[in-house]
Amino acid sequence: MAVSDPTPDFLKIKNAFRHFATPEGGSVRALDGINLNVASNEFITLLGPSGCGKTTLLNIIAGFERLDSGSILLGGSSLLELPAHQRPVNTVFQSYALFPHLNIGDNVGYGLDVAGVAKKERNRRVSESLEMVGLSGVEKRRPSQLSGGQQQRVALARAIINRPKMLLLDEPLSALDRNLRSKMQIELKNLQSELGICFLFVTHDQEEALTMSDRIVVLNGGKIEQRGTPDEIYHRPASRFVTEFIGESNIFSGRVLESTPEFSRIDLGGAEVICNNPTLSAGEQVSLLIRPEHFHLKAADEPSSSRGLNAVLEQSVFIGRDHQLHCRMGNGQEVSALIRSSFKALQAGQPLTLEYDPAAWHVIPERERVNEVI
Amino acid sequence: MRKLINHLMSGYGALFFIFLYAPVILVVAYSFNSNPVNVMIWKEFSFDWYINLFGGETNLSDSSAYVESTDQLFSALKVSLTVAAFATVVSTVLGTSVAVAIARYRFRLQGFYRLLLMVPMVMPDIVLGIALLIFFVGVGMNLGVTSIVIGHCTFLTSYIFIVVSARLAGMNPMIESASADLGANEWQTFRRVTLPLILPGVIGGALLSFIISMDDLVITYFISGVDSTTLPVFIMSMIRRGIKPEINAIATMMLMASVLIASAGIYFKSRKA
Repeated sequence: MAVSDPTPDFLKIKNAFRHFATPEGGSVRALDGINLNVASNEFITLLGPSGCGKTTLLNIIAGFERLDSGSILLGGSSLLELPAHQRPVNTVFQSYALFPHLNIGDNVGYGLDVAGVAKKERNRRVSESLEMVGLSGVEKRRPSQLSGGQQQRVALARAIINRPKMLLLDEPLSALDRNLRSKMQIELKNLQSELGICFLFVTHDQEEALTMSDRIVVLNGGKIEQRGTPDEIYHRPASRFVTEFIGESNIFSGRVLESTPEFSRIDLGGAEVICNNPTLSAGEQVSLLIRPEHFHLKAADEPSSSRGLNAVLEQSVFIGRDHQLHCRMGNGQEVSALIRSSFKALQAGQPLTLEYDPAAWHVIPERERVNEVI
Repeated sequence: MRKLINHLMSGYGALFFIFLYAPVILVVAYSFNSNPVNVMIWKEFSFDWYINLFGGETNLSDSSAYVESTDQLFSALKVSLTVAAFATVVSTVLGTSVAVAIARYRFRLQGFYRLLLMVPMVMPDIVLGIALLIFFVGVGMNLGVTSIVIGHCTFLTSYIFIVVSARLAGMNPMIESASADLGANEWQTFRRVTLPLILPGVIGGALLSFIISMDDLVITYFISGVDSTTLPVFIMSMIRRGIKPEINAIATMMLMASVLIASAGIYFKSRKA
């Protein structure tokens, strides 16, 4: 399959609104004004907790649900007027939804059979499709005779055989065990670059999103919290929600004491930190974020520095290569750090200085939630 | 003590099944009793009643048999089979379509329609029978095979609806979404996915409907005409003149047919897709 030149705004979602009536008579906003453009060769992930609207958006693109208002264009033409079976998109379902009464060959060839593709061409494409997902020679087996991972591949082969312009994946890896999941993550990413089409992947698993995506869209309560590359989402989260949702982090509230073009001094209430963030003004309330892996322990013989947090070790958990340290600062706040394990044992109750690089801090001004970042 | 309780429980179990099946077993056993005068006094084993039913030569006197001619019996059987076949086909198509509609589409008064479809199952047969009779007479329709077929469809449709609905409820609705997603329109999805998956339920329901139709007496009694006597109605009229071993033979054969068809029905209904 030839890879054509990417189109930047291949999928255009404009002002998408959708609400659902709750059994209690209220109304939930599943989509609350979504605006999103997706390139034709992009691996884009909708990430968020359950109920954030990610699956609703996928179902609307697939044609299983309708939109209250707004528009969705794919390759310049509107999708919303088309019934599901006429849309040039295909879906990999969370439950796989294989046809239990058909064998694997007929499952994969289903899209070609309903389109009336000639037998010879159909059989060739079925084996080609199964080969692409690394599952050749199972045409005669039944779905129930395959393992979960194999069924997943069949669902994938079935979805790509129609050569869709876009593949929708609804948490397809959530039922697989951990090892298989990481293997499939890489395979999915490879398949996407091989096909050169857009993959819209829905997940609540932030690790999965960070591994595979070109771009991540974080959704919360039907709104986009942030969109960006995995690196941007992880290191420069736009809101406290994103910070808490992506990875583990220490979040503090503080007040800016002093801000110069080079650095800012921020009061955490009993402790002070220095960070590189020139856009602040004195007196401003901010949220501060630092990842546990960005702390390091100062060796006892090094001179003390002002760029460290003083805390008392409460618990040290060995998690393989690293130690997870749970500490408490003088003002009572908890702080966790991830330190490379060493042969020197740390004692609970021991005072520590958690040193940081001022550039490691990410500061979020506590203004309105930032919705349109890019 | 523990042992005693176990024995008592087994005894209770045995009594329970004797209670359920003893009358049926007696009917079968006495259908082979050659005593033409008193059904309940065992004389000797014989196939005479069966042979007699099929018009064969036996050494029974004519006065001991009811069936004046085998033709009468066979014509009743023919009416029953015709009615059951037509009623089953019509109610299977109607019941399946309405079950699919109610399970897969959203519309106003859906729950109410579902309820309306259940009601004929609990409606007293005698009420339904009288109502149908009044209706047919009211619209000026002659009572005959057609009226019996229509009458049977009224309650068999409910039966099919319930069996097929249960089958649809056990199906992952995403499977139909997947079919649409892959380019199949609604008819293709029904023919290639939905129907094959509910087919065991449809066939099972149809077989059970067939037996219920064959067996129905009360409703049929009201709406059968002079020349459209079904087998149960025919047997009923025989019984009025007293119980003779011949009836045991007919009952035994009906029992065998029912057990065979019902087993097939239950097998299909519970078969995994």
